[in-house]
Formats: sequence, C-alpha cells, structure tokens
Amino acid sequence: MFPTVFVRMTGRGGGVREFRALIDPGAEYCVIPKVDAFFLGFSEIANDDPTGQASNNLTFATYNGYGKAISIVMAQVELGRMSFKKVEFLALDIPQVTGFDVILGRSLLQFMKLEFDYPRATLRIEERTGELKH
Amino acid sequence: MSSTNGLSSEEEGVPVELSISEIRRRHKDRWVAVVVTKRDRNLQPVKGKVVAEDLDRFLLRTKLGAYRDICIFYAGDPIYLPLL
Amino acid sequence: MKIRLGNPLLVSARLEGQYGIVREVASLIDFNAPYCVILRQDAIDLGYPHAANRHPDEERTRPDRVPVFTSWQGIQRGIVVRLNKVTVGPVVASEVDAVVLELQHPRFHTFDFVLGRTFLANCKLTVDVKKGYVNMR
Repeated sequence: MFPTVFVRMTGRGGGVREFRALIDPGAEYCVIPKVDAFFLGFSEIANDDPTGQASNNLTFATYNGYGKAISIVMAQVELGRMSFKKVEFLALDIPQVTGFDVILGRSLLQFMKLEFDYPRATLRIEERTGELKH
Repeated sequence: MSSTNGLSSEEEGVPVELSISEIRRRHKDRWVAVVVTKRDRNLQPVKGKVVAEDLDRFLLRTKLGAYRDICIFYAGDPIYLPLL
Repeated sequence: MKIRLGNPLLVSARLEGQYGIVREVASLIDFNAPYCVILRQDAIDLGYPHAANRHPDEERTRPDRVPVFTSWQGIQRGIVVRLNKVTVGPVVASEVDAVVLELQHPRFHTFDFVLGRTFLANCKLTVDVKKGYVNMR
C-alpha cells in the first residue's frame, strides 16, 4: 500500500542496520530512530542536556506544528544495487503504530529519479549520475 | 532436521530460514529482526532467519546487542493510516 | 503537467464542492497521505456543514465518515467530505475524499490543502529531485 524498500545503513563504527523504509519525496530529510542512530555510532543522540544544545539540532515543520531532531551524516546507504555516501538523516522516532522505522527523503532521493504509478501500484527507482545542480 | 531428542530446529529455538512473506505471516503485527540469507536481483531480502521479535520496537532493540548486521521490519500493516 | 520541485512542493488546486461552489487554493502534494486534507472553514464554505461537527459527535452518528490516523502528535481523527471535483492544471479527479483533521494545521503553513492518494490514485508521478521537477499525468 505504501512505497517501501529495504535499505542498508552503515554508521560510524561500521555497524550495519537494514530497515524497510518509506519513500517520501515530500520529506526534506531522511529519518532514522534515535536508538538505531546511537547503535550506528552517533553518540550525540543521547545528549538530553536542555542547556547545551548540539550544533546539529534542527527544527522541522509538520502538519501539526514544529519538532526538533538531531541531524547526523550516515557513512553509507545502500538501496538495491545503488550505494550512496554521506547521506543526511534526522534522528527521530516515528510513531510506532505506523509500522515504519525509516523514511527516505530528499537528502537521499536527490540522487535518484522516481516514478510513482499509483493505478498500477508500482514504484520505479533509477539512479541519477552526474553532479547535483541547484 | 531434528535433533536426538526428537524436536525440530524451530522447536528447539534455532532460527529457521523462511521467506519474507512467511515471516510476515508467522509473526504478524510484530516487529522482527532477521538475518538475511537470500536476496533478489535488486538486493532486496527474500529469505532470512528470525533472531528476535517483539510487540514493541524498542524492546526488540534490546535483544540485538550481539548483531552488527541485522534487518528490522514490522511484519504487518499499519494499525492506523499514517498522515505524517 | 510539469511542476517545479519547490520546498514544500506546492501547486494551485481548484476544489469544487456542493452546489457548484469553487475554491482555488495553494496545495501541497503528499505522495503518501491516504486522504486529501482540507481546512474546516473551506469544507464548510464548499457546502459540507457536517465538517463543523466535533469529531466525537460525528463519530457517534456517522462512524464511517471519521477515519483514524497516526500523526506526529499521536492518534487523531478526521471527518471525511467528498469533493465533487479537484483540478490541478489538466489533471481532474471526481468524487475525491478529503478529511478535516481534528487538529488544524498551524497558521505558518503556506498551503491550505493537501493532495493525497484520493486525488493521486489515477496519476503517474515522476520525481526528479536533481533536475528539480515533478511530472504529473
């Protein structure tokens, strides 16, 4: 029902986690659960000091208001046969009842061309090569 | 394959290789952690062994300390439609 | 129809409700939203007075019109209205279900409507983030 793929992520310490991720071109960033970001070597996720804000603390907007999350840079993300380095993620817990842990947003999808065929319920992903143009 | 006491591998608690669709059927509506044993041409998991499962995604993580490379997903459909 | 990929991804949509009333509003394209989302006041203006009901009251009398969702704030409900027609450029969809959410979205949002799957169900969308466009047909 939702466009999902399995994606493998390698963090700082070389640990690997694989998730079934939701593809969302409307999302600016990719999202990963805080506990998995911590496991993958991003210990700054555990910082809960309200006075000492991390410099990579971001504020984002949703339908219901603002939220805050820490931004991390994943060493490597593998989607099928495609592999990408240094992909920006937000460490954020998606509500558990959605059944998703990870969302893939534009910070990763910028390297791809996507085709959503809703009548046929298919998703086609094609890697884009070349330099990123703004 | 059964051991000398007559129990199958699964009954003894040894993970058995299953297809992802079978895993989704057997562990419906639970979070599962799988060691992937077979992939398709798009490198998407096709078969794997369930090494841990839980109703809660965070409790599941507490069981994965020994695994450096593990696949985690929810074996079910969303209870409520997500509007994020 | 080619749409420039902004952030957020906005287009102009014409909403046609009961009795031929039309509103043209800035709309966000959400690839995964199960329903379109409409503001309460727009739903009332377009001829759906039941959008003004409190969600628990509507759920008691018409539970089929009150789906439940998961959002970042938790579980919330919506009241469904069926728009006669929604038009984005050359793309037209009839009988489009939209929900009025329990929590109105904040004023700082620059859009008033969300195009979800009840509109996109018959579309094919190609997204090229690098080139900066979305093709809808």
